[in-house]
Amino acid sequence: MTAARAVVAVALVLASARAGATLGEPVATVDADLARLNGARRVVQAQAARFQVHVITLADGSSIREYVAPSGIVFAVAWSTRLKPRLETLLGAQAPAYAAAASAAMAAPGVRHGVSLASGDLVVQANAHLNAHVGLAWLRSLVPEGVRIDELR
Amino acid sequence: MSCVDALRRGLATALLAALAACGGSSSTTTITGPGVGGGTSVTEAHQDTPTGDNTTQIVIDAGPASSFAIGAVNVPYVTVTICAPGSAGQCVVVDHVFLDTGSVGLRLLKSKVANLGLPPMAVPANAATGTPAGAALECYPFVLGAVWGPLATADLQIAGERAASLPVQLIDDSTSPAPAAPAECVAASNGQLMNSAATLQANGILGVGMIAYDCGLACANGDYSSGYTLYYSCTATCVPAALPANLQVQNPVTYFATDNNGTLIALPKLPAFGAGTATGRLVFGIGTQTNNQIPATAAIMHVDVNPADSTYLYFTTTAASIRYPDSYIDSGSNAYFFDDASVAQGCQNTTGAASNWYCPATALQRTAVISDNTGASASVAYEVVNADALFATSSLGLDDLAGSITAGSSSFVWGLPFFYGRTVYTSIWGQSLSTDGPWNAF
Repeated sequence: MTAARAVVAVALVLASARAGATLGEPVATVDADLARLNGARRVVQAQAARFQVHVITLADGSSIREYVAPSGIVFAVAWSTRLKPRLETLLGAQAPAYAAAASAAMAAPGVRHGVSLASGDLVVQANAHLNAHVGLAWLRSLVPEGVRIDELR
Repeated sequence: MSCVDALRRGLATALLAALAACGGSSSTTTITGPGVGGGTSVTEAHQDTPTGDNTTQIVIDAGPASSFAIGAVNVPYVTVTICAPGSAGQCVVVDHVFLDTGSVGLRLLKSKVANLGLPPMAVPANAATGTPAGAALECYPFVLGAVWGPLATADLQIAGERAASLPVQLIDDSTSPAPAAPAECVAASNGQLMNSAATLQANGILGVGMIAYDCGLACANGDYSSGYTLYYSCTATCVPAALPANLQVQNPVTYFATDNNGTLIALPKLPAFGAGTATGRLVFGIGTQTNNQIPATAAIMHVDVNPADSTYLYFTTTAASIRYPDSYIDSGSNAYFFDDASVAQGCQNTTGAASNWYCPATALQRTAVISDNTGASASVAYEVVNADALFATSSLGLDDLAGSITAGSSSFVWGLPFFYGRTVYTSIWGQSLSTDGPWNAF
């Protein structure tokens, strides 16, 4: 088979895209990403408990790191994925801001293997070499006091 | 007489020969003439060696589209001949194909090869993954944007090399693509498919990166959980497909009968404030002919080959005491890109979305260290000049252009500026090499 089965798969992708959400939202939304990505999770405590890192690892070796402030809000998301990640789900409510900034950046022609975008509170860095995608997205207003963003590097 | 003496004593007529004898592949000429922008006088830089039937010219110019944009510099192009499989006469020449070591596969605007009737490829049914049989189409994403279109087989001729029945992608540049791009592909493209010479700034892309196919296991398994779907099986509608690795878009170099283990790119050293246009050489094969041997003095830097590492396909750069574990060398990036808050931005000429250039008041001369998992390391000098001053020249080849990326980024991108005045080798993983790939040597 199976055209029918494949259609169901597409429907699931679309449904889960709506369910996923993370950046700027409570740590509980990491669970949604975990389920959507069918991944495994471990939690790393940063020095002096200034933030937690929830690391989701996928079967293909990809990983997504979600940085959680003491308030329980995800203030940054980083990725290392074998495919171009679906940022519209990882960025949650920030997805429209990212889409607008990406669209503006694409006014300049040419193939891009890296991009830096800032749109209001949102900052996104994405790079790719071949099929290894890496990047970091964060919300300026939610970075916990005393945390430098380059500590996430 | 040493090389330096020879160069010092060389008269103008003898200089090229002296350079060639000492530098091996060095043969740089500069000619002064009107700039591309028509205003200021700028210099051209040409490198005409290595020569041979495994080599072809690279040109850095304004590209195929008329809409030249500020910042659209340092784009290397090659010319290819595309033939219907097995045909000697049914061929077209396609110029301004973007030479990209940062991607894999030949992708051509469909309209450029429309009259060849290239045979479309099919997805075989695969019950285990629920993949139905259908036409093979691909949504190939870049960091911004994506291209959509069918897979076909074509004979590629470039230099004296031939890739027969090569799986390639035809970028659908018609006004109404058929089949239409699925919604997920539109999302993967950031809402705007790249579907013209103007948006691609090229008539096609020749991806000669370090791996043999453009996707690999994820697509062979039809497992698109980590990101956007690349391959689709299309009948009345298009559905995500598992596509065996040998049917995916292939690295053209691996299809050559010989010289199939990698490439080298040799670009001239540029004068101050760059070159209006520049030419150099693309050489196929590494260590397969006298013109593509790796010098004993070259640094060989391996990229990480463990897909479970966050540094997969990257090596490390350390610059100004900052460590960037996701670094890479890429002919498809048009500047150095790194994060350093101490370097002035505030450029004036470069407004808009692509304005993340560095504009230091005086030129920065720095040294970074590239290191890899094998313990190898190499020092690399680089220069950053005020981007406003560079763009004011209308030069299209700039070896000291750098852009900022956001704080916290793990990447240091050694884009095309790195290639000027160097010979840069890109090996292909899994091919026969004296030192197993994948790596860059320089």
